[in-house]
Amino acid sequence: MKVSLRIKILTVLGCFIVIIAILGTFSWYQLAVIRQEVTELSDQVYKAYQDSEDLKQYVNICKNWAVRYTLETDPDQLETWKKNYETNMAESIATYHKLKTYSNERLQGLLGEVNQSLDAFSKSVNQVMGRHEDRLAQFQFKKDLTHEYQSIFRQIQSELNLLRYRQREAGDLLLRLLLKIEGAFTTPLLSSLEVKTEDELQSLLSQRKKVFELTMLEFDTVIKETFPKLSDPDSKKFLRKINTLGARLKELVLSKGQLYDMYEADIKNIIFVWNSIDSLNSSFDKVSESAGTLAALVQKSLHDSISMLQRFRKESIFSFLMIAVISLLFLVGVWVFVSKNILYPLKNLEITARKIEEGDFEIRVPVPKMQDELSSFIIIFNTMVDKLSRSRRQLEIASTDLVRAYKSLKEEVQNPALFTVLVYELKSILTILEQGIENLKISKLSDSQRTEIHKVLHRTLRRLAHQIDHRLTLMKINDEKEGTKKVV
Amino acid sequence: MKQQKILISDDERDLVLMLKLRLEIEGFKVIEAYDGEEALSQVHNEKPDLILLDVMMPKINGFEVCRKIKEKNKQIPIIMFTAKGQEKDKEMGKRAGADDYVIKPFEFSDLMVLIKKYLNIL
Repeated sequence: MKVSLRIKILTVLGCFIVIIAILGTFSWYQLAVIRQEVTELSDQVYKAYQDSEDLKQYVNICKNWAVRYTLETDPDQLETWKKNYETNMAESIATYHKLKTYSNERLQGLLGEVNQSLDAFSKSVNQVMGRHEDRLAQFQFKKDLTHEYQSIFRQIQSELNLLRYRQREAGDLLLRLLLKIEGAFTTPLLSSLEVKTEDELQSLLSQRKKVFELTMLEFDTVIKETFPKLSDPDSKKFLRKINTLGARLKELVLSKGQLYDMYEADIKNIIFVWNSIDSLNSSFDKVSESAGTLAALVQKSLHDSISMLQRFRKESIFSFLMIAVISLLFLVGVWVFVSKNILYPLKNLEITARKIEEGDFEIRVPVPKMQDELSSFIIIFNTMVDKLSRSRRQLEIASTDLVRAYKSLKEEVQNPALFTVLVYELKSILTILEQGIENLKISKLSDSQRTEIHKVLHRTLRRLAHQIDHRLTLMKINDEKEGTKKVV
Repeated sequence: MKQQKILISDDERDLVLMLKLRLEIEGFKVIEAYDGEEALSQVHNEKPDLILLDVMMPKINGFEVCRKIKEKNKQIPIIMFTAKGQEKDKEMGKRAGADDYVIKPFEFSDLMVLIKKYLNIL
């Protein structure tokens, strides 16, 4: 692969890593934003859920105060219950308005229903409470009536006590009847919240009325049947008194009737409030159920989103780590690749060039396995060094030979023993020549033997010529030496 | 009559070749050696009847070869030839056990006289 192509590939891969890093950072940022939004939405939904629970609580408290106000028999307590109701109703309305600010459509739909029920309830309670002064007057009337009744009752009782020694049975009977009348009259119509329907209330009321009327009738009968038989002046006086009291008592009975009419009006109010409470309860149940479902749904989707985000975060962390590790490994790989294939051969080239400069012609640059411009260059470089080295070696050899030849000649010139060797050599040559020439004289020689002798003679003659040249060279050197000496 | 065997030992290959050619024409069987070691080996293997031995040879010189041959085969006549013609060389040859001495350059007829003398050829 060409170096230029490798650099291009490396550049492309580098750009790829940078793009991955940018995309990764951008995704990370987006993830953080989404997470923030989901968390805010979750907080909002949770707050809405809490507010709806608060509203439900406040309305329940309002309901209780309204019921207590309606059923209260003690006029002194009425004002307190009314105030409590109004405070909690104000809280309820404030919470309702708070809920209206949340933008969830489903919640707003449910709030519409809540608003209607709350309105109806509030109107009915206000209607009851609007008659507050009337109720106070009713309590006053009831109080006065009771007071008067008790005074008459005590007078009748004292009259009866006077008569008891004579008409004991009748007196006792009348006292019992009086107690019964009082009971039917003074006992509160509703002592608890157990009675809930209008029919039940009506039947209870008519039952009381009937008991009262029957008892009064019985009382009249006893008086009429028992007391006319008495003829003594005390009894007559008693009868007159008791008749007066009886008349008053009847008047009171009439008043009692008025009281019962009041009770009836109250019952209607109670039932009205009660029904509106029922409708409020049912719409609240709906709201509560829907709000609960909604909250659960939101919580679930929120939980899912958060776990998805967490999973995505984990996965993205893993992916980023993987990308980081792969990038690192890749960079290390690239570094090793570049070092091995480019930097290391270049360094080797530099070191080798330096050594060659210093005179080491034996060193060569290792050729990289990969074939490219660099390896071609190194091969050319090595070949160049080879040629340079060879030329240098030849030059050295030639130089050494020259020096050696010169030394040898010089020694020969100076050494007489070497001259003797030359003489021996010439003698050997002469011996061969003599024997060869003598052999040629033999007539029995074959052609091949003759050719062989000729070859030997030629060789020996060349040897002789060489020795003569050598001798001449020696003489020349000697002459030069002598010349130099003379000049000196 | 049995063909007689002559060993020529000299590092001058062309001289050996010329002498061999001539001696073979004369009716001898010729064996060659080109240094001292080879000469000793040929003596041991071929048992020559006469030895022509050069003085200046590689590895072992002619005097040493002559001495060693004479130690074991005193009866083999040895004629030494050399370019050296001084008396001290002749003396050294005699001490080594050489039977005769031929100085280079020599004529073949002179050598032949000596060969015949030592091989008792009339």
